Amino acid sequence: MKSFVLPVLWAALSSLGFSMMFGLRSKKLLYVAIGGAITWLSYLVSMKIGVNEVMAYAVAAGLGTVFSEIMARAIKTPVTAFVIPVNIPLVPGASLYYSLLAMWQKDFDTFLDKGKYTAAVACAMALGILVSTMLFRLIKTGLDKRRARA
Amino acid sequence: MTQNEYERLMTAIMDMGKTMLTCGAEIYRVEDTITRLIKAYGGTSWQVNAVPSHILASATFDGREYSLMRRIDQSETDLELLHRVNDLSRRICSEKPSPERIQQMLEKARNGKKYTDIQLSLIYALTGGMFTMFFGGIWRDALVSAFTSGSLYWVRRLILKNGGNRVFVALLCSAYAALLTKLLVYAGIGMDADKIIIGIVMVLIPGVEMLNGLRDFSVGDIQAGLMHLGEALFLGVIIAAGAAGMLMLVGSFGV
Repeated sequence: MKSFVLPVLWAALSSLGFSMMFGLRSKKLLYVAIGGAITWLSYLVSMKIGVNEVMAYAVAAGLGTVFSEIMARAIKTPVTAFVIPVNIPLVPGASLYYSLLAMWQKDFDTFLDKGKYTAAVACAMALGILVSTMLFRLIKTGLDKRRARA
Repeated sequence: MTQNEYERLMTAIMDMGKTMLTCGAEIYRVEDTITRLIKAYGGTSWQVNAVPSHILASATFDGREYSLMRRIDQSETDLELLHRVNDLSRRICSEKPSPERIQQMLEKARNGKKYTDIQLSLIYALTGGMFTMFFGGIWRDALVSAFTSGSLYWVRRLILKNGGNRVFVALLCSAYAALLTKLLVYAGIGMDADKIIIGIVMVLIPGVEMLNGLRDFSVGDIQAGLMHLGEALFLGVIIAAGAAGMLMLVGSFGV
């Protein structure tokens, strides 16, 4: 568990910095940092308990999105403002870069290898985001209907 | 309202939609906001279609149809402005101010507090440094990464000011990052050029487009998702090209 502390801290600060690059201000920054920490922690914990790497990305993106949806409703801000920085530690930017760098260096084996990995991670993140976004939409529609009936 | 006022109302609504899309809102949010505004002002039927490059909308007020379109030619992601415009749309739906008032409120939101250039370059430095730590660098690598990312902001600003577009910015910035990193590692300040460059690349990488694309797919906006992911992928290709070219160049000098 101790080995989780530093990576989670760096992920939180990366999320924080990324959101500030796009102008975010005020107490929202604190929640973004917490969200970044939750996302990366859920990835590390999923890996630890034996979930495979691709599925771990899906779980982490799902939990990060759940956190974003809750916080966005709590402080009345568009989900986008949270969901982007909170999920940024998961974005396969590094493997995308390594893959394309290998392409320019005519190292096609690495290009394909890293490219496959990047595509898998992107698909996993899409799954995670899909499940939590739809879950929230279902809950919201359900609550609205119940309220309308009452 | 008169016909003329409805025309100005639609203009104001479309300007709000354009502002939201430019600062990084997802497609469904833009369509949803425009629809809610039209409904709030008593529109009886509406058609709204947004994609990353344009918004089309037509609405019927008092039996007359008004159609407008907006071209989105540049995106400057601003999450704080998005937050403000979102608040604004909620207020407008409940208060229903005049079209002129909407334009004033929108202008006020646009002119809200922004980070200064110096603050932004420090933010770039923080982000680049933290990503390098995140990818397993040591503090000296983070220092090099922070310095390079911080100065990168000024390079980016210079190129944008002189009319360069995002693609060109990506190419030159990644080349600049690779050059400076290699030199600082050669000088013995940084240790692992690879971890430094990847930290800086995360600052350059179109993460917003990538995540928005994935979110578009998740809610069923396939067209917008493809456009966003395509843009992200192409920018990635260019970033890698800039870095690869520079690495090859400095490599030939033995750095």
